[in-house]
Amino acid sequence: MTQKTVRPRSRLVPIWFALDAILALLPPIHWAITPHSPWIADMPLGLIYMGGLPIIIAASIVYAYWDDVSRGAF
Amino acid sequence: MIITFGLVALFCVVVIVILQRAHISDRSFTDYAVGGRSFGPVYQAMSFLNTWWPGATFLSATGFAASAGVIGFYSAIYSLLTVVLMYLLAQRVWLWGKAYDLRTQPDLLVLRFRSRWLAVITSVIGIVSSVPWLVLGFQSLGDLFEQLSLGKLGFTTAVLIGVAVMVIRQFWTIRMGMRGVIISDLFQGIVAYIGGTLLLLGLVAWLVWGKGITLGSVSAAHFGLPGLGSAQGPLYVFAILFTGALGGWCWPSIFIRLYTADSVKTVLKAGAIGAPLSVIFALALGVLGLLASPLPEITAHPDMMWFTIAHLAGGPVLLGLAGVVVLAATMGNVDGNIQAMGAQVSNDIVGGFKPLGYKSSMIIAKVSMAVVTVISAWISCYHVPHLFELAILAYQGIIQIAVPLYLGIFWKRGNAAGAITGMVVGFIVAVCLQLGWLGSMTWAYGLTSGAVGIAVNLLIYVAAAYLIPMKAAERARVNAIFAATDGDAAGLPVSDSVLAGAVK
Repeated sequence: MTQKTVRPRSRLVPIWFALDAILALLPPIHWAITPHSPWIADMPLGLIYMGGLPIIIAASIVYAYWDDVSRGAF
Repeated sequence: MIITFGLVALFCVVVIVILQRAHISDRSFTDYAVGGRSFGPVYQAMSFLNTWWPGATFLSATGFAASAGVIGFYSAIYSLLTVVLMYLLAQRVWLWGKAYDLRTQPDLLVLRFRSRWLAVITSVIGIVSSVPWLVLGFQSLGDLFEQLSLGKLGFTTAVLIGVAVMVIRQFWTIRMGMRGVIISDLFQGIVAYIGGTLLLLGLVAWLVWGKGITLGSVSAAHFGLPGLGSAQGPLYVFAILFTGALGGWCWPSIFIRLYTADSVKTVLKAGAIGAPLSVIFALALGVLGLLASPLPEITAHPDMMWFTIAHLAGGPVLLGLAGVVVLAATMGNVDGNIQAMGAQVSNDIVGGFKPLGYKSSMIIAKVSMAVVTVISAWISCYHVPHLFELAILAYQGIIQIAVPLYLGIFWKRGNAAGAITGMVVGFIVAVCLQLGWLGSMTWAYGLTSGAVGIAVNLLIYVAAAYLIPMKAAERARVNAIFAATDGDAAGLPVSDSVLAGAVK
């Protein structure tokens, strides 16, 4: 009987998860978001940060699962 | 009123029909407490969402964003970080659960630290901290029925109706245990988070195209975060995100979700399904709050904006639908909390001192759930001064479980003495700071009482881990249970079928 070969988890997964935590928790990033922060592409920076970060974190979770499936982890 | 209450009644009938048709007799306490570890990813995802996002979120998240701005999106960020944590701990927690028949969070701590007292203390902290939130859940139904009555019912009568609905609903929670909770979570979750998100997006569209409100209409102050020089302190945003993310798995009703899945793959897939749904839902809540903030109708009562906007946009029909999604979300949260509390009283508090058979475990769990329901319902009917502050205090306390829980899962060092002392001292520090400074600790640069408590708790845990020598036999036992989840099952009660559920 042959054993199924499983590729190790992509290095991007722990890097992305760490980046999620840094982007969410690093106080200097929070301090940079003020009512006077610039607007980018008609969007205020505060909304880009607080609205964009959950999307980035969710994408990292979906990517991690996709990587697990594609490497044959299950 | 007939339209709004009629829609709610229709929803309740469908939930009851689903529960009646889904009834299966339990064969063991594991069946009752964690649904026999038999649920697939869709059920898991909806069940997590339904426990995680209570009905009050529709009121508080929109109201917070309307009154304070983008900081109101913080719940979306910490909720997603909680799912990242789930991705990291799922393998070990699920495998230990399956191999050692663990049913609750304290069960895992007993396996890891071999201390029954640690389990009892954790269980008591978890249950005591959950009660104020349960009472808030019941009372939020008062707001719901008051709004749905279009001003015809007073708040007290509305609370009594809400309490009556939830008490009746708990008959099936008590009767069916976790299986009933999860099966109904699927329907309630679809209504609350898929239906609720569609409603949210529709209301956002109405504000933009119907009322001509854009981001430019919103006050610039709404787009800043509390930072350097703010009243809350420079570390405030860090503290609420950090404690929010860590605290997620400290709640008994959330942690128990890891044991209801049929495999590690299911837990991870549920995360991958639930995360995008959570993002869309939470962002839609925040955007609705922001865009509604310029409306004069909202400024006076931002916490009621969910109902106000729905009524303005679509009259009684949309108001009724808005009420149904709040009720669906509240049901899932209340059911999950009550079920987890009953399981812990039976499994960890009474069962911690006296081995219980299947029948005794079931009877104690069911009686505990009935008692918790009646006590919470009774308290809800009264005006409890400082209830919300009490709930915040409970949160600062319950997150102290995070230290032994996460370090116990990820670090082989650490012992019961450090875990118990750290958790108890951290809890006392958090409660004293919260009571002494009422959440406004300017000297701590914005750190919350719970964050300070966790720092003390962590110091004690790590100091005890290095200062108290670990006996060779205990080290070997801990190494062995960790090895089991790394694919080396030698000498452990881990069968091939258990490891088949693992991630390689």
